[in-house]
Amino acid sequence: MDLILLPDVSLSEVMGFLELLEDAGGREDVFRISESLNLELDDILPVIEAGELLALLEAEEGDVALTALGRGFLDADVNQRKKILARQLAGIKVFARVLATLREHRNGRAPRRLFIDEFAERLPDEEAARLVHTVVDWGRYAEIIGYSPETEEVYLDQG
Amino acid sequence: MALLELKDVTKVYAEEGRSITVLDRVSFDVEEERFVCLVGPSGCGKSTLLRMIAGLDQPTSGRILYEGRPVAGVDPHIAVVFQSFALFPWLTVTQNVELGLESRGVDPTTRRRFADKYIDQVGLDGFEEAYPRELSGGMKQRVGIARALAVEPRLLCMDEPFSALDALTAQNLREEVLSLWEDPNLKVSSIIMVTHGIEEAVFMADRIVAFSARPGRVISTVPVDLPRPRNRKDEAFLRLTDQVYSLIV
Repeated sequence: MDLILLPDVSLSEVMGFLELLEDAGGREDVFRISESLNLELDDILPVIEAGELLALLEAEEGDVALTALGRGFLDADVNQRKKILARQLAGIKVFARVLATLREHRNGRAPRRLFIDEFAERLPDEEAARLVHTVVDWGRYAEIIGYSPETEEVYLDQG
Repeated sequence: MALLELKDVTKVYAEEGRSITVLDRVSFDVEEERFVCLVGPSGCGKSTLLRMIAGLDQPTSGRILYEGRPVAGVDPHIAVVFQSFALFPWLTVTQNVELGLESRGVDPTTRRRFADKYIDQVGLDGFEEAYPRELSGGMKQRVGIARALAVEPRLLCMDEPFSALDALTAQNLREEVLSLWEDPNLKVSSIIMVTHGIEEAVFMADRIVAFSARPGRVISTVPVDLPRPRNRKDEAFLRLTDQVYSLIV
């Protein structure tokens, strides 16, 4: 499987970044944003990467700008935002793979360990575990993936 | 009548045979549908004051009135969001949100209905069965906010609710708290928020109450008449931020 690693950030950070970008008129120099927040480039780059992956912003030559989808996302209420995220996540390879695996399983449930082992074929164990954590975290927020801490199973969230 | 009135509120702690005055004759009102921020140097007693407003502590002298009645213990119309989230690690998100309702004697069916409603409101759908250890700081504070909202308070007290979060998550939650406060379907009328961030106060408040260093006294109350949504780069925003800084520093 050709994996795309997800940046290890929370969606709250991505949303906060989009909101700051909107305050700046929708386009800003990355340097200015990181300076105004006292953030190192290493802190802010994964957030930008996540925003790009979700097609909510685009980065070019040191500037970041909201996309039309990013503007629509910011105008939406929390449940509409989740729908937008659900659509975007379904188009990201690692999510498509996890969702396909879950659909193949009885009741749409599979052990979390299964995904860690699968990703660990291409990644160091620690990164594989982190990737599963991020997939579950983002997927839960978008309400496409659920997770049971009792059984340590990932499952399809069918509302 | 104001929603909340503070009249000459003083708090004195006795420590090793000495008396330490933390707050000295603090008076101000909070009207309906207001967002009031309390700012001041650390140790000026602003968090102590918030605890007294919420009925978790009592003034040594002076009076705190909610809708004209003295606050005596925890009031069902007042709820608190804490800086450190104050979640029980062995309870799920839903159970943590239900906790405030349980302590008020609400039956289990109604508890679940209210918890579901406010979990949805703060964007925590999908995390109902999660334990706090599975959550990022931002999601933990969302649980804290949902728990406070679930008791349907008219006055929401927030004690530095964003200071334990990274800068971007904090910005996201500021915007979400403002959206919740502006939502006409929610029962919350006014919010009192303690913060040490002057820029944060100018971003969120209608009125800023500025405190002196210990013993905390009200130096000034500053109306914030900037239109919403506010932009930190606007000249008026920067001017007002500078004005509040100059009161305190």
